[in-house]
Formats: sequence, structure tokens, C-alpha cells
Amino acid sequence: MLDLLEKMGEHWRAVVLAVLLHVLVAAFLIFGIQFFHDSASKGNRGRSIIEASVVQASAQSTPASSEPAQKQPQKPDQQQNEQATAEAAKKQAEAQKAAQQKAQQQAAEKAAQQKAAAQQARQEAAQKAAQQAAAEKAKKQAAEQKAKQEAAQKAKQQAAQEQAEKEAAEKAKQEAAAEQARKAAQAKKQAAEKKAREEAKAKKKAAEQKAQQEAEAKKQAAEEKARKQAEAQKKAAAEKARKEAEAKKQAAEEKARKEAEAKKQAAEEKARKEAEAKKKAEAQKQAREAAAKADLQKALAQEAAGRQNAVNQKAMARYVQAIQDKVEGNWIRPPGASNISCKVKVTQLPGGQITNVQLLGSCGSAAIDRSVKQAIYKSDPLPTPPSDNLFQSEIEFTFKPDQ
Amino acid sequence: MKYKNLQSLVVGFATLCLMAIAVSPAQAALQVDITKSSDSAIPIAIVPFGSSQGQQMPVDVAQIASNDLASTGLFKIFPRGNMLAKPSSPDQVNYDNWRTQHVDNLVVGSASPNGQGGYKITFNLLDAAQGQSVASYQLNAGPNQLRQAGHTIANLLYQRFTGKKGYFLSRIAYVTVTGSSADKRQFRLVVSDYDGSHPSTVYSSQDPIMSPAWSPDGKKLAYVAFNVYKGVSSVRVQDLATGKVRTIASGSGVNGAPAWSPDGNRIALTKSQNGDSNIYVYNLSTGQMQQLTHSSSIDTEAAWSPDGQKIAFTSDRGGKPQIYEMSSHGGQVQRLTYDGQSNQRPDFSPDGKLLAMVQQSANGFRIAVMNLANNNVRVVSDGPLDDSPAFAPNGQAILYATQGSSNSLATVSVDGKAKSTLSQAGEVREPAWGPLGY
Repeated sequence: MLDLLEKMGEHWRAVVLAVLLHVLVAAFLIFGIQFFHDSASKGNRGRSIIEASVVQASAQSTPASSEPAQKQPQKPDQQQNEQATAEAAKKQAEAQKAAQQKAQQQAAEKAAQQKAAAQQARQEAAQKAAQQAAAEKAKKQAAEQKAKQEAAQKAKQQAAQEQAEKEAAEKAKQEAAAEQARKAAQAKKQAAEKKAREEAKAKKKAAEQKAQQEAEAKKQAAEEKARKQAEAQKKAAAEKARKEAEAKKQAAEEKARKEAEAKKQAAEEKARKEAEAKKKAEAQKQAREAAAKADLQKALAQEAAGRQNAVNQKAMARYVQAIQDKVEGNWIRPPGASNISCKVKVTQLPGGQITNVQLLGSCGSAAIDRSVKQAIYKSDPLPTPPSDNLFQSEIEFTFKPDQ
Repeated sequence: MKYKNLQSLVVGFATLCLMAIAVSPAQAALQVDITKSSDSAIPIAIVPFGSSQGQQMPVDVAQIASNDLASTGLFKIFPRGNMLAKPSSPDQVNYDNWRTQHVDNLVVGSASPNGQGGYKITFNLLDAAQGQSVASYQLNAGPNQLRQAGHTIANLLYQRFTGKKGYFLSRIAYVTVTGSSADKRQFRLVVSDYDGSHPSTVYSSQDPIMSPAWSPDGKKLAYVAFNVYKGVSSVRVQDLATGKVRTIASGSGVNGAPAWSPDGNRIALTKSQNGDSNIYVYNLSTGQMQQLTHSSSIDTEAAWSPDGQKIAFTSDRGGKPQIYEMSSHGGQVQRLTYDGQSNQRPDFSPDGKLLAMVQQSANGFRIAVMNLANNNVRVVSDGPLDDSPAFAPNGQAILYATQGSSNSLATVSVDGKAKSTLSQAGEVREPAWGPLGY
């Protein structure tokens, strides 16, 4: 509240301006309505004149045929309730009709009655179809109260004007005077009321304005706050979203990376396996080929070995024969020795030079042993083999001349 | 790559294996069989022995030894004239010189007075092929024993090469006949060195002397002496050292062909009574005579087996003379020879495995040797009139009498390869080879 006051204080100029503006608007409204009412009544008057003539004609021919007349105003009611102004005019027209048909006196009474009826209408509400005017008035007043009671005043003014036109003046004058007085009072009252109302209104309006401003401010603040909040939220959300997006992106990237990696790994694994399989197959192939090659080489080697063996065997046989011949030629068997049998191990150098002679057991006697040893030593150097690969450093001689 | 390495490794291994297979039979020692020997004699050079004082030894022992070895026919003596040097000790020997002259064996030695009038002789047998000394010997020879020393050297060398004892100290006995006319004829029983040298007459007679036989100890000779005048013969045993004679068989008929039992206690001989000749054994200890054969044929020329268990003899009980065998105590008789037209005069080898004999064939009378284990007979002499085979005391040679342009003595190795003739003047008959003499 203090805030409000403070704000009002702050915006006193605006308040005053607002009040003035309200007053001005109110005045304009009052006079405007009046003016509007005149022009409107002029319009209505033309129609009502036409209608009046029709009504009059019909009234002459069929005085009791009020039902269509009654029915007629009902139509716009049914049609458009919201056209308050139009309806009011209709009702007034009906009221005028009634007033024309009856006595002019009844007009005053009716006015009074209308007054009372207007008041009664609030309490009783719809007693009779004929008293519809009252009801209308009541309605009008209700509308006035609701919408600044202008309709009722218009009706009164119209009624007064019509009365003044159709009747004589005194009463009309008195009444007009009274009316004027009353009107003045009323206007005064009304002005006061209006003022008060306007003040209240202004106050209210100011309050409203203030409230509005406050509300606005509040709203603004709230909005600001909300905005900020929203912004913050938005920002947060954005941030969050960004982060989320980022996280998502990262996750996605990670996922993608992982997937790519996995894919790559899988691909690599596959490639590796394939390469391995290929390599294995290649190796197996190579192994097979190698085995085949080895077999071939083996066969060739065997063949070559066989050939070489044959050659070697021949050469070896010649070599052995050469050694045998030399030793036999050098061996002088001891006279009379019989049953000679022994083995002699001889070690030689590649040139056939004998390095050691070892009897593996006696040949039968010392003399035979010596003859054998001497035969071998006499054969030094022993024949050399035709090829070096036939050379053997060890030779085992078997002396068996008696077998 | 790895695989390739492995592959090459495998291939390499396989190759190695193959090589190993190819080579492996050769990895063992090369096998050489010796089934023949040279027919040549053993080449040897016996360098004249040096003398420490530069004095010439009265006897050339090296020459005696050389002759001994040469006489066997088994050795080829390197002539002295071809010797490039005459070392007398191993350290003086240049082996290459001898090797290049194919002298496989070399004997160098020297003699020095032993202070007792004799000599101390040292010598070495060198193997020129090996270039080293094989054996070293030392002898002591008395003043008159240098000749024996020479023979001893030969014996040692002979044994070294043959594994058998040399017979170069043994003696032989034989009968010589001199004089062309009957009244001037002279029969001598001679004993000499194995080679006929140094003969000495142990008995002489105008009447024939036959069938000398050595006692196993070499001290006595049994022989047959005739008395033409009386027309009788007798078997005598004469001690060589003393000249003492003991007649063990005499009387009418034939008394001949004595043979000493290996133990020297008995003498198998031939006696004839009533026209039948039979084998008897005379016991030198008891003086008893035991008849072993009782045939109506001629049984003669008894020979003891070295173990004294058997007696082989010649008999014509089958028609022509053949060699039979029986126990030294008599009993069952078994015929040994079937080859040739006739076989006679058996002699057991000292080892009892061989039997030497005179075999008559289309080629005349030749010395043959039968292997008692398988009855294989090998003729070892050339004939045409060879007689009286006698084994050398070492069994390696056979001494026999051969009649050609002149009668002479000859030796032949048991395998018939080495022959040599003993130089003897005149007609020489019925040799007998005495014991080794050492």
C-alpha cells in the first residue's frame, strides 16, 4: 500500500491528469448521451411516426387487436436481447401507444406509477404483461444500474418531453420545474454522485491504475523475473540443452567413435583374421610346397646319394682293394704259422701316413702279431682314396689267411 | 618368414640326415680283409758285429747267423756288400737308408771281451719299417763258443720271426760211404752241426752202417751195424760222449731200424725170425724185448708218436709197402696211407700232427707229409730218389737224403717252399736230426 502511495506520489501528475481525464470523459459521456439521445430519438421519431400511423390505422379498424402489436415488440426481444437500446425504444414506443389510447392523465399516473412500478418492478418483477413497461423500467434501471442508469433517465426525459408536448403546461411546467429542480438536485446529486463516483472511480481507477501499474510492475517484475527466470531457465535450459546436446553430442560422438572404433576394430580384426587366415593358408601352402620340395629334394638326394653311393662304393671298393693289395704284398706270413686270425685297428692321416697300429687281440703268436704289425707299417703310407670323402682315419684290418 | 626358416631348417635337417645315412656306413672303421701273404722270404740284414776294441773277432758270428737263417729258405739275407753303413748299435742306424733298400729288419750288435777269454755279445733286432728296436739281446760266449753264439743269435732271431725254436744248434747224424771198390769201401757214422758243418765220425766200418737214431737227449745214437762176414746185423746204442756201445738186438735174421721212445727208455726195432719181420720194443732199463706185431709180412721202420702212445711202421701186409699204426703196446693195426704206389719210412713231427714219409709214385720216390688230422698228403721234395725223411726238432723242416748225380742231404720246409741242400762231400745216407741242442 505504501508502495502504491509512494508510486502515486511519484506519479501525482499522472494521477491528476487521469482524474481530469476521467472528469472530462464523464462530462462528455453525459452530454454525449444527451446528444446521442436526441439524434437517436429523431431517427426513432421517424419510424415511430410511421409506426404510429400504422398503429393508429389498425387501432381504428381493430381496436382490440392488440395482440399483433404486442406480438411485434416481442419479436426483437426474441431476436436480439442484447440490443438494449433498440428494445428500450420499442418499449417506449409501446408505452407511448398505451398512453395515446388512454387518457392523458393516466400519463402522469402512469409516470408515477412508472416510478413506483420501476421501484416495484425491482421487488415484484413481472406482474402483468401490461405492466411490462414497469418491468421494462425495472429492467432499464437494472440496466442503468448496471450501465450507469442512463436508459432510465432517457425514458424519463422522453416521457417528460412527450407529456409536455401533449398536455398543458402547468402541471407540466410545475412538474417540469419540479422536474428541473429535482433534476437539478438530481443532477447535483448525480454530479456529486458522479463526482464521488468519478472520484471513487478515479480513485478506483488510480487504485486500479496503481494496482494495474503495480500489477504491471509486478507483472513486469514478474515478467522480468519470469523473463529472467525464463531466460535463466531458458539459458539454463539452453545450457542444459547445450550441455545435454553437448553430452548427447559427445555421447553420440563417443558412441559414434566407439562404434567407429568397434567397427574399425572389427574391421581390423576381420582384416587381421583374414590376413591371418590368408597367411596361414599361404603358410600351409608354403609348407605343402616345402614338403613337396623336401620330398623331391629328398628323393633327388636319395637318388644322388644312391648314385653317389654306387660311385662311392666302386671307388671305395677300389680304395679298399688298394689297401688290401699293399698290405698283403707286405705281409710275410711267419713260416709254419697256421690258423691266423686277428683284427688290427689302424689310424691314418689323410695322406695315408699311419699314426697308430693296434692289435685287437693276438693273431696267434707274437711272431704273427709282429708280422702283421710289420706288414702294416711297411705299407706306410697307405694308398689314398680317390676322393677325400671316402677317407676314413680308422681302418680295421682282418687277417684271416686260413679261412 | 618364421615358417620359411623352419622349412629350410627341416630341409637342412633332412639333408643332414641323408648325408648322415650316406656317410654313416663309412663312419665305422674301414674294413679291410687280408687273406693272402707274400711268398717272399723275410728280408733281413745282419750287420757285422762291431768290436769294442777294434779287434776282429775270431768268428764272424753275424755271418754264422746269416747263414743259419738263409739255410732255412725263409729269410732273404741282405748282402753285406750292399750295406750303406754298418752300424753296431741302434742309435747309429739311419732307418731311411734301410727302408729305401727294402730291408725291413735289421740286426746290429757288438761284442766285447768278457774278461774270461770269451765275449759279451749284445745285439738288437730293429724294425726298419717302424723305425724302432723290436728286441734287444745279450749273450755270453766262452772262448770257443763263438760259433755256438752265432747259432744262438740265429735261433733267437728265428724264434722272433717264426715263433718256433730255431734248430741251429742241433746236430745231425748220417752215414757216409767212401771208397769205390768193395774192399776199400768205408762206412762212417758222422755227427755234425745241423748244416753238416763240423762233422765228426763216431763210428766207422767196412761193413755197412745203417739207420742212425738219436736218443731224445741227443747224447746217444742207436744204429745198425752189419757184420758181413757173419752175415748178421745188430742194433747198437752208442754214447756219443764216451763212445761206449751197447748192443740191444742181435742174432740171426734182421735186427734193424731202431727208434727211440720219446722218454728215451725204450727202443722200437725190427727183428726177423723165420722170415717174418716184426716190430719189437726193447726196454733199455729192463733189457726185455717185447714183440708188438705178429704178421707174416714185413713190418719195419717203426716211429714213435711224440706222446709215446703210438707206433707207426711200414708193412707190406697189404701187398705194397704202406704205413700202419698201432698202440705202442701193440694190438690192433690201422692203415694210415693210401696215396701213391707205396709209402714207407714214417716220421712223426715233433707236435705229432704230421707224418713224413717216402712216397713212391710215377715220379719216383719223394718226401711227402701227411696231415694226420685229415689225412691230406702233400709231397714236399722233388725226387726222384729221396729217402729217409727226418723232422727237424722244431718241426719246421725235414731233412732227407736225396740221390741224384750224387747223394746228398737236403732240407725242406714242411710246406715244401723252402729247400736247401747241405754241402757234404761224398755219398751221404740216412740222415737223422737230433734234438734242438739247447
